[in-house]
Amino acid sequence: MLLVLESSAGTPSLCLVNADGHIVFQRMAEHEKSHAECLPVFIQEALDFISETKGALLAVALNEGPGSYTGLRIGTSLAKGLCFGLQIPLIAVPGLQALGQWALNSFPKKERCFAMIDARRDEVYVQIYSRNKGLTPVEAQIITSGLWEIDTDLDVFMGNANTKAVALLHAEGVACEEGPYAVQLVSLALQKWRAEEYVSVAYFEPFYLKEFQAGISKKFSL
Amino acid sequence: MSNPPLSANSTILGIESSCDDTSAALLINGKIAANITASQDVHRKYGGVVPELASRAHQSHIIPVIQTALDTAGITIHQIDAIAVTQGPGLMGSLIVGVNTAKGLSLALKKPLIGVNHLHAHIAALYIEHDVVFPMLCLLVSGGHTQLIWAEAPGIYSLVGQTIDDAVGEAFDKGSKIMGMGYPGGPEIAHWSETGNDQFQKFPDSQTDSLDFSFSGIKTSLLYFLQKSQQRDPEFLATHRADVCASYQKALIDMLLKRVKKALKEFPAASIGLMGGVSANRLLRSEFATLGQTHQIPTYIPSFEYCTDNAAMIAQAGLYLGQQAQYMSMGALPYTRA
Ligand SMILES: Nc1ncnc2c1ncn2[C@@H]1O[C@H](COP(=O)(O)OP(=O)(O)OP(=O)(O)O)[C@@H](O)[C@H]1O
Repeated sequence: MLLVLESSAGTPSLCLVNADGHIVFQRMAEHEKSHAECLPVFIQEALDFISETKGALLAVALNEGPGSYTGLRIGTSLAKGLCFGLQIPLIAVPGLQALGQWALNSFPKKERCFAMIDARRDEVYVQIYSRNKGLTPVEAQIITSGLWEIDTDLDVFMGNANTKAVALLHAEGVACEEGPYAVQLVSLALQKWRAEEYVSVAYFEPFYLKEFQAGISKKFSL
Repeated sequence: MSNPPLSANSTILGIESSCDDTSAALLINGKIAANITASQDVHRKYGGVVPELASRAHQSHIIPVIQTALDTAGITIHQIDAIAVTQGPGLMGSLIVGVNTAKGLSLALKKPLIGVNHLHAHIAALYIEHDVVFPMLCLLVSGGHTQLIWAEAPGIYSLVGQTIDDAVGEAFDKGSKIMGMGYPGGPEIAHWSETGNDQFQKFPDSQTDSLDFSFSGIKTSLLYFLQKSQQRDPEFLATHRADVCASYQKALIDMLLKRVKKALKEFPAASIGLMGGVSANRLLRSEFATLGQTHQIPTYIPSFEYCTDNAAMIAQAGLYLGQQAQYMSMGALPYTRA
């Protein structure tokens, strides 16, 4: 079985997928930012489920980001501990691409998906997936009115920044879908699992997107 | 399902990631079989630990450090009986990496998890090398803490005095920064002090007559003293760096020992112990040992490798907790303050 972990945004979740690609177990937190207390407990429940059904955990897939640094850290650390302990491979799922893929699969009439994760203030982490043009690069983007021309018939917003994006873009009426949730990562995770596209358990780091810039303090020097 | 208590000869994997050192150790049959630490150089240029950078570095160091510890001890991950991890106090982002890696391992291996208090672990560092006689009066000195602790037995500790502002390690670090020297400041100041005159300048002790410490005043007086002296002679620091360092170091150590002496009058200690990162300081070590000799009680000071943050002391502290079946639940969280 494949364990799929989502820890990059407000609500942590996980699911188990069997070899046929069916979701056989899922958990989602009731409260936002409860990653640290919920995810380890959910994993325990998932492992109990696997033992009860006499299955075996064969790999762990994780949303690699971008998203909340703390959330990504919790998910990554848990995944590494699991994979190292069980000697099983780790799969890094590009979160925004997975959301775009899920949305276009789920809504056949939509042509283009704006996968967006909330960053601070008017900023989002965004990747646009269109059926004919493919994927744009993942970017941190401050949304301003008129930044993108939105077609309410053909576009879909996906992620946890929809309300903010609709307001800033005056895109009232566009279809919106909440995420990211573990079940939305499954299709891309399975693709990578079947292709044996693994990352290093020892050296993997989440996709932070932004280099961290620390100020050099001048305090106290003569 | 509740786990049974650990036996004294258990194999424990210790993990420490509370600040800027990523460390893993193995305690096998009562002996430290490996103690591996990856330090983070990235903070040096910022003159202090940058929490986000520390968290990121822990993330890329933690598994290699655990693997190296296993290789050094010559065992596989499946041979461990329990995992002990620093639960707090420390930096949240740093703690999160260690605690969640440990939880993942514990779930994978179906072995119990032990959450260790980092300060208690500094005391446990003594048990690695010594058969401690209790009750023991402890002076815990590190980058984040300065405490006098009354230890009646392993794990039975009460706080009898602590700093009301900066920790003494911070006083070393900030002093070093004021003098335009590197981070961490303790080793820098200690190094320069070796050739300096410690009577060169008197820095005032804070006027508390309790067992509490205060180090913010001395830092400020160092700053003013240097500003004034440099105004008179721009070459002052260049000429007298060693003397200023020696005087500053001596003043800090005197402030520490004055409280220990006072506490020894109030508490019937059978031994004294020194621990934490600042206990790497040679002058402090020798003056502390002299104090023990004067009082004719045993003095315990850890070897250098167990002074600064290390996972050996986490494994050692974990053993005592595990023997009492004090395990950490999967829902338990790291904490930043004691
Ligand atoms: N030779 C020395 N003399 C004085 N201070 C020293 C020496 N070596 C290290 N230090 C100081 O020890 C501190 C680091 O200690 P340690 O690693 O135990 O603390 P920490 O992790 O910063 O804090 P804590 O353990 O309280 O969370 C630094 O402030 C450093 O300057």
